[in-house]
Amino acid sequence: MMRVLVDCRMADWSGVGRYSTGLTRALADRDDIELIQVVADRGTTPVSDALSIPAAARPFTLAGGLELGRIVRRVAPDVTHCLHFPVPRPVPQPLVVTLHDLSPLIVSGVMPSLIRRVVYRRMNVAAVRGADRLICPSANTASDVRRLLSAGERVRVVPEAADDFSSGEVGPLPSGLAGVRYVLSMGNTKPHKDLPTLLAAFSRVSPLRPDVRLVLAGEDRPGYIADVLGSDPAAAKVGFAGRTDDATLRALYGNAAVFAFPSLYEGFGLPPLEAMALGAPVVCARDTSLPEVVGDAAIMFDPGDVSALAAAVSRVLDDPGEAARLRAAGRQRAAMLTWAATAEATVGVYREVTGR
Amino acid sequence: MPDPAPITFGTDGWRAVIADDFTYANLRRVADAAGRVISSASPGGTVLVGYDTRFQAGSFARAAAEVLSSHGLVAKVSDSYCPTPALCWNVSRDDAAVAGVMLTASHNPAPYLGFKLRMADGGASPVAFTDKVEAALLPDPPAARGEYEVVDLMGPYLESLRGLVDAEAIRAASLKVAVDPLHGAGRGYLAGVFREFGVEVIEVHGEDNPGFSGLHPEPIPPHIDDVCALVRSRGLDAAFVTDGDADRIGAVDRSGTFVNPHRIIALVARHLFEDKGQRGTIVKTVSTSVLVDRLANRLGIEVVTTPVGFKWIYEEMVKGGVMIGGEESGGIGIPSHVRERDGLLMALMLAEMMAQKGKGLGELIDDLLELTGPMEYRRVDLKLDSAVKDSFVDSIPRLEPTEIAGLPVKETQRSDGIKFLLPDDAWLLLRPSGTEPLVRVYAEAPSLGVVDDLLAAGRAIAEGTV
Repeated sequence: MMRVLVDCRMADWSGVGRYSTGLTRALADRDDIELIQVVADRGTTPVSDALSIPAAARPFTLAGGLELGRIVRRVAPDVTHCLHFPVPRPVPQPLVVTLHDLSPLIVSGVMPSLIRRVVYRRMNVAAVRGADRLICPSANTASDVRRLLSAGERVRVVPEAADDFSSGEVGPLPSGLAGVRYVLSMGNTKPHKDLPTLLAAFSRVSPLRPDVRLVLAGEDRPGYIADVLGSDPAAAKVGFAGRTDDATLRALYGNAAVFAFPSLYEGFGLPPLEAMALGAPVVCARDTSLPEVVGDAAIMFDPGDVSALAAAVSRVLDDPGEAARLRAAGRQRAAMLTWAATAEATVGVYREVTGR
Repeated sequence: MPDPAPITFGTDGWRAVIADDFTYANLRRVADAAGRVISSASPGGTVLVGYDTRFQAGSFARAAAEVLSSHGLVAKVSDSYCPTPALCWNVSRDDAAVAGVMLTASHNPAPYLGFKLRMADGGASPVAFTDKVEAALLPDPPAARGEYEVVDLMGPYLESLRGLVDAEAIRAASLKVAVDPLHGAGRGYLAGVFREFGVEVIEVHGEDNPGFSGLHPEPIPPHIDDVCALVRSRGLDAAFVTDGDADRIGAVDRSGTFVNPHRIIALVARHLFEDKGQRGTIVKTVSTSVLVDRLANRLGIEVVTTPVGFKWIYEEMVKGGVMIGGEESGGIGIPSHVRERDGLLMALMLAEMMAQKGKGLGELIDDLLELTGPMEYRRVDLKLDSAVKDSFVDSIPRLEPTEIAGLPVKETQRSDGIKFLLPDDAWLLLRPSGTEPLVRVYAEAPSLGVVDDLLAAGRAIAEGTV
């Protein structure tokens, strides 16, 4: 049995957290792995049933690296897997590191501080130099990692999944949304998520479909919509859903007339996969990793193309047959990507580095 | 039709009274649930099944194997009764084995039998796993039966034990010892290994007796009184006692005096470190003697203290870097052998120590105390009214005495019950039972007089009279 130490200190985070819980729970279900997970001692997300070792220091600090290094020395695993780029000090062997994306180095505005970008790059370089294998969730990210961090032939592509999320309890819709037709998107206002393109497209869709609203999943950003849409009457039909738990988010996906995802850069793109798993027709930008995730189960448009996005959303709203086709295709596509499959491929990487 | 008997997994499996709740029907229900859970995670995996010397334990084991194999698992049943550590060791060494099942009620009285689950590393099943088994229980026993193999678990296990100690040193020492398996699963095995090593052995309570001669198969006084008297009357060097499934150890020195498990943990830890060159932490529970900490301090070994219960020690073993782990009940394990308590291995370690140093257990303890300084230890179990116990439990977060039995309180810990640390390494621990109206009070201090004062103070705290 292979003894594997997994760094789950960031399980409370959004994207890395989904990956941490999905992968770790699937690894814990396997009988060829003895899994030990390092968790944040103040963490609130239950990761898996595997044995946990709490860590006190922050993952991105030197203290965090040294603490993780001490834990690795004690556990003496056959392989250490860091689920994000902070690695133990000293770097253990064999080491597998998952790099989810390099957006701060590729997309302007994601990490405005130059100092933080320098530190970010150095930490990623340290991870690439120390790792025996690197796992990326998409071929696009793998290409970025090879190109920008000289990772050579050590990169492996292992897709993520949404089956754990989609199988959870579905809660009630937020108040005011029951019976309402709405386009759903994520409420992340970082520049590379390109919400302005979606808002502009919605302002074109809205006049002919006055019953349709645009719901942005996430906490309210007061003034943001007015800043983008100004006095456009469509602004009155756009709103943030507020902080939502997973059950509510599942309800939002499941009842959406369309899920629109205009993001300009993704390392993988879990939201469209989650939307497909829960039966929402997906419209997304044709860039970075998204075509790999959605396959032919979504309508894609050129990134930043307001007209094309408006046309795609209108098509789904106006054509029930197309919406039904996308729902069925999306569910089928999502079913192909499971955390069990992610774990299987990840264990394959472990076997490469351990020779077992 | 009456409701099916409630079946719940406690800290170490499902236990019940034979022919009352522990029936073939219920056993098959449990095996069926376990089989479904195991086979869903590990289709076609191997499950080893062992059993102790209790009434019909072997027959129950074969019934469980029939049900397990009906789920597509490869069930292999021991060809004889075996200690729990033997089952666990075999599971950990068999790459195809995904789980183990042991039919035993450990140290419980004769009417009981139990169903313990072990994971692929031989260690105890976590609560999350037994919860799944409980959830998979069906109201009716299954009709399906499958084939099972009969295998020798004891041969390979005993061979591994023989390789862990210096047989020649033991042979050269011409030891004379008593072995008391208390009619349990160590019966014949420990005595047999000793005899192979040239030790003169008298085995008591070694006959097949599922009633345990009225004893509780627990290696503590008064159940070991017979063997203590035997040591004295026959002038033996020592006696070694194992419990019902031989995972716990008790020992008796040349004078017929009981050697408590705290001292055994310290002796074996010192032996592993100084004589066998092993390294790693010592894991003890909150109720284990401070002798262990003092020894570790002298030797420069790290000590990890856990709540009471071997499952906590096991968790530390899984984390790694552990040389030995043990608890007050006599459950002591060396994870490089198996992540489980092993009474036979501990007996062999003590005999090896005696042989290599040419000393009796009493002298080895004197040497130990010379290094650590003397400490006395006692425990009393207080039976209280439920209301009094509940009131004590409620008061634990608020208890902040500055002085106990005239000694200033240096620190208060609440990791398991409440423990007061006092000067000179003395301490007082009060642990409410989770299931009974009982509070266990432990005290340790440099003299018995102080220990008794602390126990009296502990009683007053538990009863709320201070």
